[in-house]
Amino acid sequence: MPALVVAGARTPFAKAGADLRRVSARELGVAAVREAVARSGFLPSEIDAVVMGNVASPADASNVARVIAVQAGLPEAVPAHTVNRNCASGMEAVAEAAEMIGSGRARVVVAGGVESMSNVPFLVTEELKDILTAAARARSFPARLRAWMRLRPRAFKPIPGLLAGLTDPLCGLSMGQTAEVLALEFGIGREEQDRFALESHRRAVAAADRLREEMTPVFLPPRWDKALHDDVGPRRQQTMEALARLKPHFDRERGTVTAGNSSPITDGAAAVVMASADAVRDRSLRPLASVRSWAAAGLSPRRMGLGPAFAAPLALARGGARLADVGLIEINEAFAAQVLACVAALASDRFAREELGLERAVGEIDPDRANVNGGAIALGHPVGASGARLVLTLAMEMRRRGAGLGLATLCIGGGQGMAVLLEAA
Amino acid sequence: MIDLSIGPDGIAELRFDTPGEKVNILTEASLARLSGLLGELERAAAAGTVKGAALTSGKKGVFLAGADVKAFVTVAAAGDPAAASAKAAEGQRIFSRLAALPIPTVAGINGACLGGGLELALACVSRIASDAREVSIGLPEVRLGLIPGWGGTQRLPRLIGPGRALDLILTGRTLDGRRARKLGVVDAVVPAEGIALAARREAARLAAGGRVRRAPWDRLDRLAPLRPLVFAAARRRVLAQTAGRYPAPRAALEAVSYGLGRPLEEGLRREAELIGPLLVGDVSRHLVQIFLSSRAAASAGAAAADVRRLGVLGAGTMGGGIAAVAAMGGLSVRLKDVSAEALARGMRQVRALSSAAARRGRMPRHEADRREALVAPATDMTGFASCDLVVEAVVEDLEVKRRVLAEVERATPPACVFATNTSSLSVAAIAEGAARPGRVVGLHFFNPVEKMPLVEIVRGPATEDAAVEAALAVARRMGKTPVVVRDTPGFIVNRILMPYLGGAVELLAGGADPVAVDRAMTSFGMPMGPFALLDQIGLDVAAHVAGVLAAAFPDRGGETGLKLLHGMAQAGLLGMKAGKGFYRYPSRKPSPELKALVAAAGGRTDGAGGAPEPAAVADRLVGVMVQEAARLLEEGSVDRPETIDLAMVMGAGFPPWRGGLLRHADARGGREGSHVRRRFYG
Repeated sequence: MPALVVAGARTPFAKAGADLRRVSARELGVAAVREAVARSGFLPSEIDAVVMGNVASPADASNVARVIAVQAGLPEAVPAHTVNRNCASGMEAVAEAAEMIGSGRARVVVAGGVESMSNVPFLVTEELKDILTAAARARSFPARLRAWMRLRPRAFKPIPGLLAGLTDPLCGLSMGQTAEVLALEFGIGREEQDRFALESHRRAVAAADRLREEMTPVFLPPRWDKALHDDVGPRRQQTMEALARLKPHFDRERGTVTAGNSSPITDGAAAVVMASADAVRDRSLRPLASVRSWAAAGLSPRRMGLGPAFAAPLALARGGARLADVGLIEINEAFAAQVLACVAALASDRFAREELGLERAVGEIDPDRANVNGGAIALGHPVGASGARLVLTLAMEMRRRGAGLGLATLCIGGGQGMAVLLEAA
Repeated sequence: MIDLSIGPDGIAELRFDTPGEKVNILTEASLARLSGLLGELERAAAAGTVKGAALTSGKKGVFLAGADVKAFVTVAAAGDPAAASAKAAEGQRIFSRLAALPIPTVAGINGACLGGGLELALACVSRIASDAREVSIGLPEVRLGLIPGWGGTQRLPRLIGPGRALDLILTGRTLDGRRARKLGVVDAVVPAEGIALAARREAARLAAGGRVRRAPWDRLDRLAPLRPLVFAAARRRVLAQTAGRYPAPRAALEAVSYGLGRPLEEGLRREAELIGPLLVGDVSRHLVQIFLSSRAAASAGAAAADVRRLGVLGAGTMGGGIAAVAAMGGLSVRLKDVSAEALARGMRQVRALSSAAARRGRMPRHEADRREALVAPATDMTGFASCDLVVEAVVEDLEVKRRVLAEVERATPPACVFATNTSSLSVAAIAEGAARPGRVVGLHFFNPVEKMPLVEIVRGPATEDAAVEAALAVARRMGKTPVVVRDTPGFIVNRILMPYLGGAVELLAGGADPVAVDRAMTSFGMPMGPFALLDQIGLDVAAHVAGVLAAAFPDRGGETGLKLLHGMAQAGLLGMKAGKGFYRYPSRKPSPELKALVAAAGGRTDGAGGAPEPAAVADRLVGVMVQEAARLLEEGSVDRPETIDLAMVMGAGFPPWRGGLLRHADARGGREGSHVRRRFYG
């Protein structure tokens, strides 16, 4: 039984440290889930399960999906769990929901993702941790004093958890450095990347009204008198000149990847309500799209940005479709270099032969049908949420355009790719 | 009703569980049963077969909700204070036998433990409470014009000291388990899931020689040298609080101060003496009547289908307030307005109410967070398809309301009820042209929604019973007291208040001093005088509503008053919001422009009616209200006089100790009074 995407919603996305910095992951998730359920036409009591993607597990809500589900007004009887496939966590949630519905284990499932990258905690040094533990364990005052005596200023040097999370322990490269690897491998220049980034902003600005249809406003502390109801990222005034002025961030000397042609670190949440055909019929609802197939694939962590070039062909094969049949594509823009590398790889016969074991290239990605409303370079990339955001944006745009098939795909830190194939419901 | 079982460990459990009822109360029959079971326990304890006893409840969320309030009516009707005192003494004797048992007794409080229920628990050796939200522990007798009469004024001060005890007895406020533990009313708080077992174990522990630990300094103020301080403070507070109108707080003070330093029996005797006259007195009779009416109103239509999801249109003061109160009542809410900025205002109200609830300890922070998150904001009509009832709080304009109604009908399933929060438009007019007029009902909230307890539910000519029941369900979930009224201009409260306010304006036009008129009404017991109230409503709003009513009832006169209201509105004397109306704000001195405006409206300014007799003013203005109330009953807009009494107390602040508008008229006798009695009370 295919799973249907009934409705969905997301919060506006905001650069980390900006408008949403005082809003917790939990609160972002509640806003998205509550709105998705409200729009779906299902009552909270009709939801069978909640699956949420999240990467930087908030310290005060280790299974953040459960906290979100209950706080969003779903009955306590509704089970919820959090999934982590790094940058594809939100898409993994959608896949899992589709699986649950397909196997008949659930009729209505909320799937989504949430990330508050502003609230990734700073870590303390091993040294400070040892001292604190020793002091806490000390049974006498002199023992405690001895523990504290070891304290030196250097013990207080904070370790940003976010930076640690964005460095891959498998290959030792930061995410930006993996993008430089692909830029070099596929010969993608700085100007090409900047032009791609500029187009992302141009499209996102032009699509503001359409994007707003996906969103529910988030009300901002501390006074709760302001509402954020648009993405913060898209720049109306972005120019090639401005982009060209930026220094490469990851390789100062020879690099091409800048803050301008990369996705910003972002806060946000997205959720979709998915249901079986029976459930949709019983409530006479009009779904957005149905899930045809999905796939995840692994590759060298050094080339993680190429993940879609591995996962998309697999999802297409499972869905019995060709890239040429796909009317609309959402490919996550972690880095311009990485997207352009995927486009080149998919169009390459050699890549198909050598890396995918196929005879011919997977196909061309028509720029006019990919990321038509802009992408993560303009909108932002809240890692746990992006996968669900791509599915939501794709499903709503498919409805607008009457597209038959749509593909959402993204790359995953650590060396994976994931893709979901939707078809008109 | 009450079961006694004795476990193999020698611990008895006395379990209160009134069959067929949602709550446990102490009726005559249950007291008799308790007395019999105490006899059994006395014998078993003497024989050594029982070592301890736990008192528990079989009802979810209720331990013992108190005495049977309906029985107070019977006692009051007999009119004999001595007999009433004797009744209280009877109960005291039973509780004293519980206290005198030679074995340790422990009350396991799992929910409401109020009045007589707490007095019973106080007669136990120890009390433990559960951590459930339903736990409310207190002595609210003073709210019914009474004092605790089964030992509460004696045992509570002995347990927690007179200062804390008086605070609880004089305010009637209730405590959850955690706060009761802090004040020393209970000795421990345990998880709700195991309260009965915990009570039995505690009885066993005490039977085995364990001791109850209490902080001795908690009762420091029992010491003789500190007592005068405590009582002087309490006395000042009572006077400020009651303005001498309510006799119960003074009696409570007397009972507590008499009992301290004397043997318990003497204190109990004094307590019984004091409660007799209160029980048969007017104030208590009236407060009990209002209490019973509001309880009946709150449970009306309780069997009807519940509302699971509420839609609210408009996030302004009213809409935001409705959404906030509904969410705090656990309803899932869809709140719509035109823009995110407009929604932010409503969402702020939701936050404010949930923070206040957490801050004041009405619910724990995490619970307030959960309820606050129940409001889902929207700028379009998506998400209304799953609403069972949609209430509109948009601008007071017939065309706009009709348009909104059509929009709601398109976005919702046929069973959905459309409720209009109009205060001056007719439900029938709004429903005109509706696809489903039977599903249209009036749901009139008062401002501010979170503070005002009354909701008027307006039944239009086409309104179906199911729609009224859905509106009742919403009111109940929001913790409001609903009254049902037919579709008549101004419904109950405004329809009765407007001629009252009009009457006051006529007095002014006749030359009376507005300050004197206001003072006459506040000393009658109204929370504020008519002119202060008009200033608060706003003179433009008042003129508009008065115009609507004048158009509906053209033969009532009052042209001078209406002219004056319009004149004032035109001159910018709009009331409090403009800083000037009948009074100047914040000085609250009469506006100097008033004289000229009265003259312009054709009134007298020669000071002839300068300082009218306060009683005469009250008689005249209350008389106007009684007349209007009588019309409401005669035309069949309201089913019973009690409904009007309840509405005026809850919606207009009519002094509750007078029992409501019509009760008061009935008690006063006179022309209107006898008219009311003859026609309506039968």
